[in-house]
Amino acid sequence: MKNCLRVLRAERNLSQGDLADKLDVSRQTVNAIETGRYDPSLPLAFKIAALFDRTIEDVFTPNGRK
Amino acid sequence: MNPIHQSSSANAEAKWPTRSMLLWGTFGTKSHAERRYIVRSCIAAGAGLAILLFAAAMHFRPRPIMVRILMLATGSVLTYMAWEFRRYLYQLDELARRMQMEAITYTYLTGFVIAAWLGVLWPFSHFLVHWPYKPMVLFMIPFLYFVLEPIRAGWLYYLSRRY
Repeated sequence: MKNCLRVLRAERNLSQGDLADKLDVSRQTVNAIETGRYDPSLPLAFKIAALFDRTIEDVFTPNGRK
Repeated sequence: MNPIHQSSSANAEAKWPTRSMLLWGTFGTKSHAERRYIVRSCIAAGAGLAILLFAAAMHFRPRPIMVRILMLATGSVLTYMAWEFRRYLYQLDELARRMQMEAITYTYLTGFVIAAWLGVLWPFSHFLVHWPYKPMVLFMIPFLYFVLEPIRAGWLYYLSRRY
């Protein structure tokens, strides 16, 4: 699954550590999601979307879809 | 806050704590949950070792009582360590917990393969070597935990390369 987490994070000038603190996960988890190596659970995806005032579809895109 | 190391770098690499993963099978000792797991496990293992040394100092006599004490102590220590590990697992975030669960799964499969091969090789060993310590093998089974822990740590390290 692709995502625009890195862009959203940069827009708000947040480090991975800052975002990790807000989501109550580790920095490594944020890194793994950003790089597409890990797809978050649905609750975490909702949490991420809510944090950036977006819908899940805005943040995450299935592979193969633009 | 989550247990695993934090970094101030905006676009840092994952940087999983290799030393801690290989040494303790955890993601570091910076969080309360991980410190508690490691400290309590070490205390439990130390208590078990102290009982073993005490029994050795007594030359394992009276033998029936000492054997029962050692078996009870070993079982209690390992049960407590497993319980603490379970508590530690629930303190992890979803990726760290997933990695631990995968490492445990691979460790189980590794142990299964090793046990299967030992089962295959065992009959052959009767013909090849004379080993006078066969009854001791059953007594040693609980200590497989200490053999499997480094394997789990190794799998954890391997999985950390993936995320």
